Amino acid sequence: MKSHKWFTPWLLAAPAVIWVLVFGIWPFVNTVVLSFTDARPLRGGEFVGMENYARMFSDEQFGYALTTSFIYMIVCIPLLTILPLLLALLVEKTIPWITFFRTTFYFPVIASVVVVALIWTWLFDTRGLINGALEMMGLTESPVPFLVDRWWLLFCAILLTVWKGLGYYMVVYLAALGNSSKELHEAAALDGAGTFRRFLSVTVPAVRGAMVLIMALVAVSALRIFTELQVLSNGTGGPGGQSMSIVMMIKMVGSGLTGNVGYASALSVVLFLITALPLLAIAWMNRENQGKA
Amino acid sequence: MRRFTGLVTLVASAALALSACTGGGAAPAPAQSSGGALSGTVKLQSWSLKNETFSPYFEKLFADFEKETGVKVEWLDQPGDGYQDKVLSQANSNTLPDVVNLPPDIAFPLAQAGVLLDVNAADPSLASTFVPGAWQAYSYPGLTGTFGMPWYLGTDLSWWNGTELKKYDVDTDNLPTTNEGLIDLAKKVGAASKGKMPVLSSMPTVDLFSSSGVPVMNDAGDFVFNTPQAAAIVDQFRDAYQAGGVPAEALTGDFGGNADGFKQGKVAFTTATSTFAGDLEKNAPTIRKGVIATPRIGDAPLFVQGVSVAANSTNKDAAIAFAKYLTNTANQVAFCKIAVGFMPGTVEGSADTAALSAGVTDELQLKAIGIVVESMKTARVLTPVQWTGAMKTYMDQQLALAIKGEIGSQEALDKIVDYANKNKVS
Repeated sequence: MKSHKWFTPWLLAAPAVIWVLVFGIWPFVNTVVLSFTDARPLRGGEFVGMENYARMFSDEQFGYALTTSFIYMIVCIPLLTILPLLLALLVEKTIPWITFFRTTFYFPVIASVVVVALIWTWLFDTRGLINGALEMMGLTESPVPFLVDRWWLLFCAILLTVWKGLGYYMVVYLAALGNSSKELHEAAALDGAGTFRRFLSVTVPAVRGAMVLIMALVAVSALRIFTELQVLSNGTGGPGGQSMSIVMMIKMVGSGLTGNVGYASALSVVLFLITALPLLAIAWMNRENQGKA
Repeated sequence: MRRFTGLVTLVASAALALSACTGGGAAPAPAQSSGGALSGTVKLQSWSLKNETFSPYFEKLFADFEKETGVKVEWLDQPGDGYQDKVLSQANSNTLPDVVNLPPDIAFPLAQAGVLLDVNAADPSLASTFVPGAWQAYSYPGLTGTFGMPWYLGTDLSWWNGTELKKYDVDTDNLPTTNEGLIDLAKKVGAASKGKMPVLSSMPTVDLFSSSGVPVMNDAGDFVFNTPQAAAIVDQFRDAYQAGGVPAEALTGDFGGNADGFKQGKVAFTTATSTFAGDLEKNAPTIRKGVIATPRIGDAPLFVQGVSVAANSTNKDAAIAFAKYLTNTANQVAFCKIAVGFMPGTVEGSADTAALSAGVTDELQLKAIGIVVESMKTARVLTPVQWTGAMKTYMDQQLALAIKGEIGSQEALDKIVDYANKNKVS
C-alpha cells in the first residue's frame, strides 16, 4: 500500500532546509555580496569591487588583528591539547574524592566568560591582587601593566582561555580514555615500557581522534577569539589596538548606526577563509594518519 | 512536471522567507491627511526613563494629552545600554515608534536614511520656540530640514574630591580653571601620592580639544584637529601619565569610568552633569562631604536630548502633536524640576531659571544648578555628529600609544584625523 505522495520527503525536509537557507546560507551569501559594496546600516551600498579587500593590505589594524588571532591559535592549540590530556590522566583514576576534583576542574567551564573576564580584570589591574602580591613579595617595584601592554594583555587573555577551556577538553579526553584498552597498557608494562613510553605509545594513539577534534575546535575558537580580549581591554584592543582580534575589529568597524558594513563583511569573509585553513590542515593530517594506520 | 512545480513552490517559499529577513525595504507609509481631528494611538519611545522618579510624570502627561486630544499614548522605554542597536533594528524593520527620544548624534544617521520627519517643514513656527543652539543640533550637513525637537539640555561641571586634594597641599579655594592648570595639578598630586591618587582618569577627547579652542572640523566638513595645539595637550597628558597623575587603566578607558572612579574614591577629579550631586548622595555619601563643584574647564559642552517623529508614522499628525506637547515649555519645565540640573530646551523655559531650583535645599545641588545656569549661556555642542564610535575607539587606541610614549603626539593625531576623514559617513 502506497501511503505517501511524491512531495512527502520534501515536506519533511522543508523545515530543516528553510532553517539552513534562512539562518545559514542566506546570511553567508549576503555577507559575501555586502563585502563588495560600501554598504552602511540603513543604506544599501554601491558596488566597489575588490576595494574592501584591497584596503586590508594597507590597514595597520588588520595586521595587528591577524597577528593577534594567529598567535592566539598557535599558543592555544598545544596548551589546550596537551594540558587537558594530562589533567584527564590525573582524574581518570578511581580514588576517594575524585568526583570532587573532576567537578572542580570543570567548574570554570560553566562560569560566564564575561563575569570571569571582569574578575580577571580586577585581578590584573595595576591596583589588583596580583600586582599587590608581586609588590608585597618585593618582586616588582612598580605595578606590571598587565592590561595596557600588547603582550601582557595577550598573555592574560590566553591564560584565561586556557584556564576556562581545560575542564571542557578534559571531559572529552576522559571519554576517549574510557574506551582505551587496559590490556595494551598491561602488555606494554610487562614488556618493560615506562610511564612516559606507555603515554606516548599507548595513551596518545588511543586518544588521537579526540586530540584531532580538540585541535580543530581550539583552532576555530582561537581564531574567532573575542570576549576575553574585549573585556580585558575594555573593548579598545589595548593601546594602538595592537591586541585586537579579527572579530573585535569586525565589531569595531561594522557596529552602530554608522558602521562600515561593507568592510566589516569583507573582514568576515577573510576570517571565514582563515578559519577554514587550520580545519582543512587538521583534516588532511588526520586522513594521512588514518591512511598509515 | 508536478515535481518541478513543487520544487519551484518550495524555492519560492524560501525566497519569500529570505526576503522577509532583509528588512528595511518597505516604502514609508503615506502621510495622514492634515487638518483633521486627532485620534488613535501614538507610540513614544524613551531612553531609560521608566522608573519611580519619572513614571508618574509621564503617566500624568499621557493622561492630560489624551484628555485634550483623544489620542492615547503607548509608552515604550528602552534600557540605557544598546539603545543605538535597538533603534537601528527598529529602523531596519520599519518599526520605529511614532515619537522617539533621540539625541542629535543618533538622529543624524536616521535622518540621512530618511526615516525621520523634517519637523521644521511640519511646523515652521517651531524654530523660534526652541533654544537656537539646541534646535540647530538637529540640522545636519548635507540635509535640508530639522529632525528633532529639543527636549531637555545639560552640561558638564568639574567635580573635585577636596578631602583627598587637601592631603597633598592643594589649595581647594583656587582650583584650576585651565587645562594647563589641571595637568599641573595632576602631575603634582600624582607625584606626591606616588600614583595612588590620580587626578585624571580619562583620555583626551574631541570634546576636550574643542573646548580648548582647537578647531575640530573645517567648513568643507573635514576633520582638522591634528594641530600643534592639540599635540601640546596630548604631550601634557603624557607628562602627567609619567608623573603618576593618570592611572594605567585610563589608557583603555577601564578605570571604572571617570565618574565611577570618583565615586569609589580612586580619582580626585571628574566631569559630570549636575545630577552627579544626587548620585554622590546615593552612592558615595562619605566622599560627597568633601566634594567641590566648579564650572567645567574650557568651553562648556551642550548636551541635547530631543524627540524625533518617524517619517513612516501611520498617525503622523497625532505624533507631531504629541512631540510638540511633550516638548512645550510647561511640560519641559515640569520635567526639569524632576530631572534636577537639566534645563528646558525652549527659549521661554530656559529663561525661568528660578523654577529649576525650586524646592531644592541641598547646598551642593544648589551650587551645581547655579553653575549649570551660568554655563548654559555659552555652552555649545563640542563633538560633531560626524564623529562615530569607530573613530572614537581608533582615537583612544592611538592616544594610548602617544601617552605611553610609544609614538609622538603629532603622529598619533595625524593618524586619527586621517582615519576619521577616510571613514566619514557622507
